[in-house]
Amino acid sequence: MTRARRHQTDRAQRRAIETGRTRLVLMGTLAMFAFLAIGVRLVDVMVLREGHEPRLADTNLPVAWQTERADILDRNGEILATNLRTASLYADPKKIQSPKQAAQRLARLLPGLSRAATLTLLTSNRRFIWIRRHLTPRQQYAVNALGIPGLYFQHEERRAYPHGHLAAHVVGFTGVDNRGLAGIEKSFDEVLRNGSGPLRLSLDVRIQHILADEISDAMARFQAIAGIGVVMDVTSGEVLGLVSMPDFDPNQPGAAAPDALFNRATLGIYEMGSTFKIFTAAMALESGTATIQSIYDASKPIRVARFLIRDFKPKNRWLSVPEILMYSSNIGAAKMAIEVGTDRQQAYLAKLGLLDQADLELPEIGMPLRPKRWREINLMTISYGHGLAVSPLQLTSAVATVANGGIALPATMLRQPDASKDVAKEGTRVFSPETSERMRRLLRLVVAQGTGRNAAAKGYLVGGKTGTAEKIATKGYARKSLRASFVGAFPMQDPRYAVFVMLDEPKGDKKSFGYATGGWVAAPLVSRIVTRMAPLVGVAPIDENAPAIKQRMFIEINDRGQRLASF
Amino acid sequence: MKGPLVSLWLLLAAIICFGLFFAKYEVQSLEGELATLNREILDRQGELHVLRAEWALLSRPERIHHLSARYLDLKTVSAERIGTPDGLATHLEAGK
Repeated sequence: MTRARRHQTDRAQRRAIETGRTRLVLMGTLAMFAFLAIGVRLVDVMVLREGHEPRLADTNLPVAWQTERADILDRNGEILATNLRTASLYADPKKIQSPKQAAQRLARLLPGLSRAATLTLLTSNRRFIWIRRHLTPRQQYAVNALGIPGLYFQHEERRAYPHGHLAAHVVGFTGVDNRGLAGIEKSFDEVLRNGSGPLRLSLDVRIQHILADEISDAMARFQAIAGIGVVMDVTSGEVLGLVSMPDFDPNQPGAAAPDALFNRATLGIYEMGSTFKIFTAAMALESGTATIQSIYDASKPIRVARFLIRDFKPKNRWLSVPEILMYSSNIGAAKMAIEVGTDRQQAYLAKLGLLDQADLELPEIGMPLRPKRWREINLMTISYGHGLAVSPLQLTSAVATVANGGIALPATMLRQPDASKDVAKEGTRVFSPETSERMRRLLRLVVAQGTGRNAAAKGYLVGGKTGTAEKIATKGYARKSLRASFVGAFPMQDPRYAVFVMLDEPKGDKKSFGYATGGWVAAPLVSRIVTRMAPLVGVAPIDENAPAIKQRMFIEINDRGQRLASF
Repeated sequence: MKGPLVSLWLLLAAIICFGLFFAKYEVQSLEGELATLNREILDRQGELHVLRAEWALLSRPERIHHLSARYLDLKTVSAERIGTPDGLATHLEAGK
């Protein structure tokens, strides 16, 4: 090999090594950058962004147990309606080996299941047949124990009402598919199905029970065909008790008579009778057409067109405003109303919410029946509660307005936050506080000395007004079939609750001296209801004969100059 | 010099492998346990729900009223039996 040639190979070799080295350095640098980038990212992720172990394990946390339909609770959290999981039995007839035997065994196990009908179903060509919806756990166990292949369970939910008929008209009921068909279940159907937690009503099951218990007792005693009761918080418009009898069991609404499903307290409208004199007196005092001292000639009946306005127990003399309420004089009330006038009477009744549908969270709300043309005869009859039919709930609301200082509050079935119990802010003023104060004294007077004497509940200063309305017969009014009612509030020195009760067609007995009037039938009921519920709701009894109370309830009767205190 | 270093690395790798493996299985079994517990919580909540409904059924005023009328000699509290702390003071003084 020549030198030159060796030199040449040498150079070529060296160049190749050079190239290789350059490439190596290049690749090394690239790799270094790549690792550097990864390193920086690692530091970023592990040190800078989340420098510590995650505090919470990333896993599925338990979701709260939920039913398809939310519960309905009373104001204290008692369950009025809830959903229970049940098993429903269905079959795939193709998989049942011995339909005859299966039908026989199932019919023996499940009461009311027809063997023949089940056999036809089990031998049909369908792949899915319901055998029985909502089995009891015991039945489910028994069916399971039969070990028949082809029978399956489907988990379903069923609405249950633990209190049964107690608040049936308020809560309402649902159909087979758990959709609300009446009451709160219907008006809050969407809300309940949205799963936004339980719905709390203003109702108090204890008060509801007292009301229902007393009314059903009285219905039995006086052989009444129906009974209604409402208890309302006058400071918030919350309905604490709402009873309509006869009632039904919402667990089996299908078994109820149509008459029992009818909510008389909100959907039923009635001519209320003398209880309307409360409003007549209040509007006369408020509009200034009468004072407590005013007297009216009630010595003889009023004849208007073909009507005769008479008193049930005529006094045949001039009566003062307190006396008109005390003795429940129709003549006196009519004369007071004439001074008030048609327009003002309408305006006040409208403000009291007695001319339009009540605004309550129930689908069953009755439309008041008012005269088409408001003539003078209407003015006069409405002054004592005839010729205008309203629902018991509306009447209770209106009496709450008179008693609470003159503020009309919308009635509600839902529990209101305690903070919102500022009457003046929430409602609209109908009467001045002074008129309300006078009306309280007048209502107390009716119970202390007038027709409502039987409503007195010792220590709780009940005030109110009786009402006895003759039912409309095919021709005119029926003398013998009455609706006896009492509406009032307590404690009268600072009213907190309004109470209304009504019995439909009561028959007087020996203890009521044959009377079936509001004063003898409904008033004693209110006395017992108040005595039972007052300790529950925290109304402290007071000494009715204490001078301070006597003075607060004092009213001048103007009975021919004679001064009397009402207590 | 090279031998021990390699075996040290191998040992470390083996320890990490084992540790990771162990931790993974531990996490898996804990997750299973958690799922079981969650399921049990839901079951218990369901049972509580049924028990609450049953309690509502058993404590309904109608039933309590019926039972108390049957087994207890209780009457409606009259207003005279309810007193105030002030009234108590005068009562005690009168008793002295």
